[in-house]
Amino acid sequence: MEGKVFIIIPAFNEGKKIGEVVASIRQEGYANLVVVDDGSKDKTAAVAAARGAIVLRHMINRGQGAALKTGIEYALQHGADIIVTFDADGQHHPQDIQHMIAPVAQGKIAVTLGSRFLGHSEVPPIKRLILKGGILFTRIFSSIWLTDVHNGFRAFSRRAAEQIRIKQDKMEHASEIIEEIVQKNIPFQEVPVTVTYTEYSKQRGQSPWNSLKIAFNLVWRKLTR
Amino acid sequence: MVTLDLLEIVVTAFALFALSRVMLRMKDGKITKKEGFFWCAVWVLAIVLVFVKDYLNLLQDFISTRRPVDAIIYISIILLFYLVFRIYVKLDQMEQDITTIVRNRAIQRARKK
Repeated sequence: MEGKVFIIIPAFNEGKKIGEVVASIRQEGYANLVVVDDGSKDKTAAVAAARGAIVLRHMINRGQGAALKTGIEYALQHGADIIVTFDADGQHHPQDIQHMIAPVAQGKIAVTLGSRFLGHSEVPPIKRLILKGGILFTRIFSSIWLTDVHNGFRAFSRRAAEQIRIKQDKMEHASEIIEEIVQKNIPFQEVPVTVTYTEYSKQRGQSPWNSLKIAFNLVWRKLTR
Repeated sequence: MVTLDLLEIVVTAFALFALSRVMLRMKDGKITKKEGFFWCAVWVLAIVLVFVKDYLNLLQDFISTRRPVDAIIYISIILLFYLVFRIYVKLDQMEQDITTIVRNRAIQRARKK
C-alpha cells in the first residue's frame, strides 16, 4: 500500500523542460505533483500549471534547498504518506519512482536515496570526478559511505520528512539531508536509478567551481550555526 | 602638555568621526539605543586609550608592540574580525527569515487557489 504519494519538483527557469517532465510523471499515474517555482524569470510556473501540476511560487529565488522544503511542507500539510523529490531538468526517469517508493511503502525503511552509480547511467568524466569528491567529502563530514551524493531523486516516509530539518537554502541541502539521516538514525537504502545527461541537463548542472563553493559553505556553516 | 604623533591624531579624528555617525544613527532611529551606547563606548574608549598612555604602555608591554598606538590597531583588527563574523551570522539569520516569509506566502497563495 503506497498511500498518498506527493512528487516535489523544485524548478528555476526550467520553462523549456518542465512541461515534458510533469507530463511524463503524470503518465506514470502520479496525481499529486508539486512544482515549486523558485522565482523563475521564464514561464516555468505557467507551463507546469498548464500540464496539471500544483504550482507553488517563490516570489524571489531562494535556492533549491528552500524550494524543496516549501514543497515538502506543502505535501505534509496535505496529508502526504510518501514524498518523492525529483529534478526538473529531465535527467531522472519517472519509471524509477516506483522503485524508489516501494521499500518506503513496505515500511522496511524510511528513506530511499537514488544512486546513479548503482544504476545504468553514463556519467561524464568531469561530473564523475566531482561526484566522487562529494562522496569522499560526505564520508569525512557525515561518517557514511554512499555510492552517490547530490542526487535529487529521493523518497521519504511521512515520519522521515517530518524529522529531517532542511536549513540550507542552496545546494548544500543535499549533504545536509544525508547528515540528518545519519544523526537521527533514520533507516535508509540506496536505490539504483538512471540519470540521463543531455546537453540541457549538463548546462543546468553544477560547475566544478560551484561544487567547491558548496563544500566551503558546508564547512563554514558547520562552524557558525 | 600632551603630544600626539600623526597616527594618534588620525586614530582620534577617526574615532570622533565614528562617534558623530553613531550619534546621528541613534537620533534618526536607524540603530537601537543599546547598540548606540555600545558603539559610543567603543569609540570613547579608543579616544581615551590614545590619551591615557600609561594604560597603553601596560597593554603595549603585554602584546610587545613598539608603539602604544600599534596595540590599538592590533586590538581593532581582532574586533573587526569579530564584527564581520557577527554580521555574517546576522545576515545568515536574515536570509533564513526571508526564506520563511517567501515559503509561507507561496503555500498560502496555493491554498487560496
